[in-house]
Formats: sequence, C-alpha cells, structure tokens
Amino acid sequence: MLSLLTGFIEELREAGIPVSMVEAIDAAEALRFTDLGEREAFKATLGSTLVKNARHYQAFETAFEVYFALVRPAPGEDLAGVPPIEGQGGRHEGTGGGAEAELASLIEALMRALFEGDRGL
Amino acid sequence: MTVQTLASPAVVKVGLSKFGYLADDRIAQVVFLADRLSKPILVEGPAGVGKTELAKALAGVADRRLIRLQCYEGLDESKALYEWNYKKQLLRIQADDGSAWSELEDNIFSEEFLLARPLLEAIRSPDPVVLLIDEIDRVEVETEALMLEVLSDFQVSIPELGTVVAATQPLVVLTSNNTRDLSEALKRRCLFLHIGYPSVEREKEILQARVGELTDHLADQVARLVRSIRNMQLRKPPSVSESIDWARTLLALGVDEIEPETVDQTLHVLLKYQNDIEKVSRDLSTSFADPADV
Repeated sequence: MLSLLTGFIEELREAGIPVSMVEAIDAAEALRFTDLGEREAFKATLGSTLVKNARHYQAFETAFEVYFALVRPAPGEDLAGVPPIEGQGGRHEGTGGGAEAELASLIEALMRALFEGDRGL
Repeated sequence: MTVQTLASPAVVKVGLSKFGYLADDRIAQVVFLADRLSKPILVEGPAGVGKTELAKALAGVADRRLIRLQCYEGLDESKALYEWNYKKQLLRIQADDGSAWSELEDNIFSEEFLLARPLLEAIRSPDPVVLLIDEIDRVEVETEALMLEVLSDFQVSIPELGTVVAATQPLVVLTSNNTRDLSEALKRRCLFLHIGYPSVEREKEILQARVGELTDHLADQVARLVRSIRNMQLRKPPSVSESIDWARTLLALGVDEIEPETVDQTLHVLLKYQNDIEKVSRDLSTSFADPADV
C-alpha cells in the first residue's frame, strides 16, 4: 500500500498537482481509517488529503481513474475491482532521477514508521 | 474521542439524511475522517450547493450546538475571537474606591469583562460543538492567520488572561466560495471537500427530499432543465437552493408539465440577473424542441 501511495503521489506531481510531505503523511494517516475495498471512500480519502485546490481536482480525478484502473483478476485471484497491492507501485520505484527516488523512499520510510508505530493500538 | 453517531461512513450517511442532507459516499467518508483525525473540513464550491447545510446537518447528527462565524471583508479579531467589554471596564474603574492599580487591573481583565466571539465561544464551550466558519474566502489573509491558531491547536491566546485551551474537541467546518486562494497553511490544516453542482440524479433526489409532494416526473424535468441552464454561460448559474425554490413555486402553481410559458413566468425564481433571465428565455425556447441534454 505504501509504495502504491508514493507511486500515485508521483503521478499527481507529474500532472502538475503539488503534493508536499505533509499531505503525503496526512494521506497515509487517513488511509488507516479507510475501507480500501470501497472505491469512492478510497478516492475521497486521497482527494481530501492530497488535493487542496479546486483547480487541481479535475486532474486528480483523471489521475486516480488511470492509476487505480479496475483490473480484471487473473485466474486464481478472487477479488475483482480491488487494485493490486504490491505489484502496481513497483514500476514507479525505479523510474525518475536520483532525487525523486530518494524523496519517494523517504516518504515511504516515514509512512512505514507511522504505520508500524500504531500497530500496537 | 470520536462521536458515536459518526461511527462509520455508512452511519454518517444515514445520520445526515435524517437531518435533510443527502450525502454521497465521498462526503460521508470525508466527514468520517474529519472526526477520526480531528481535522477541520474545508468545503469549497459555488454558492448555494449546500455547504452551510452540511455543517448544520452535521451538528444535528453529532447532537452538538452549532456556533457560526459568518465571515465578511473587514472581519477582525474583535468580532471573530474576543473583545474586552470596554464600557463595563470603564464603569468598574469609575466605581472603584481607591484599590491599588494592580488589583484593579486583575479585576477588569477577568472573564466577567470578556466578550467571547464565536471562535472563543467554541473553544470555551464545556459541551463539544460544531464550529462553522462560513465564507472564509471573504476575509483578508491576515484574519485567516488569526483563525489558524484556533484551528491548529484548538486554543486562543489572550494577552491579559493567558491561553484558553479547548476543553472539548469542536468539529470544524469552513466554507469557501472560492473567490480567492486561501493560505497554504490553512489548506494544509484541513481536509479538502469540493462540492460542485449535483448530477441530475442527485438533484432529483434532493428535490424530492426537500419538496415533499413533487411528482417523479416534475422532479426529473426540473433537474434536467436546471442542469442545462447551468451549462449556459451565465453571470450567476442557479444554485441548488434556487432549484428547490423553483420546484416549490411550480408545485404551488399546480404545474404538472413544464411548458415554455411556465418557464418564462417563473424564471425569476431561478435566476437573479436580468441578463441571465433574458438569455435563458431565448435559448430555452429553442432547446425545448430538443430535450435538455443530460
């Protein structure tokens, strides 16, 4: 999920939507309270934390529909309509320059700490 | 500490509808998150789509008092946060019979002489409240900064008294008509919720919920017509509250089927500018032949 989120954030940035660290962390935090199986809720969580301007909202919606496109399950998988957790984010980790990759892994490390810190609750 | 009646997005949705607000999954999720994360919601969108109504319905669902700060250009600290009751202080000083100044000073700068405005009132309330900061885009950036302390730490600093910390956590809703960009700091603090004009389906649901005796057919016609009117280049497109008013008017006039003459006679309910009315009158007479696109 974390790599999926950082990958999506990169997409948003490329689409011209400025997403800062603060917003990325907010999104990660908010995802803890989101039913990931509910597409509208999932989109609402990302939209409310990552987008802060009405003019960016259209671009966000497009990016969301593209990035979390409903994937047909391969034979053997059971859940339809749920974005694949580990696979899709992977293609973004290797791309981009050194600085981008560093930023992405920094965000990931921070979010991992957030997630793991709260496991005890 | 989360509110029982906001236990899940589904519960939020049902709760809001009981108070007359039809929320979609997105709105329900954001309201749910706002409670869980203790973050304010910044609701942004055109006039009359139900931004304020959301705050009111939320107060109903959460069973809390609604404290409203109506923003306007020129709103300052004395009207938003607090003000000292100067007249009373002056009287107290005049009525004093020779106390030392430090004693008198302590006395006149006490709670008794403090006029709490909405933000401070929300902070001080012993029972948790819903705080609605309406049309925040109408205040200057400097005033926004004032509100930021309240929204960041849920506290107000009063130089003479000290810092008042909130005893309870308010649910905060800010609305904006997007007439200007709000400060980054404020936006960062909030969950962002854009509410645009509803879809035809949703508008129809809203009309039927708000205007009891509206027939299915009429609700459908109103929703479609209003939608196509909004797509025209108008100075002020009709809001949801205006389409509700229009539906009520049509009902009161005993209209079953909307004809071009009906529209002409009642357009002033929907539109507030003469230019818009004239434009729509002209354009609609052609589009009546070809039903409004969805």
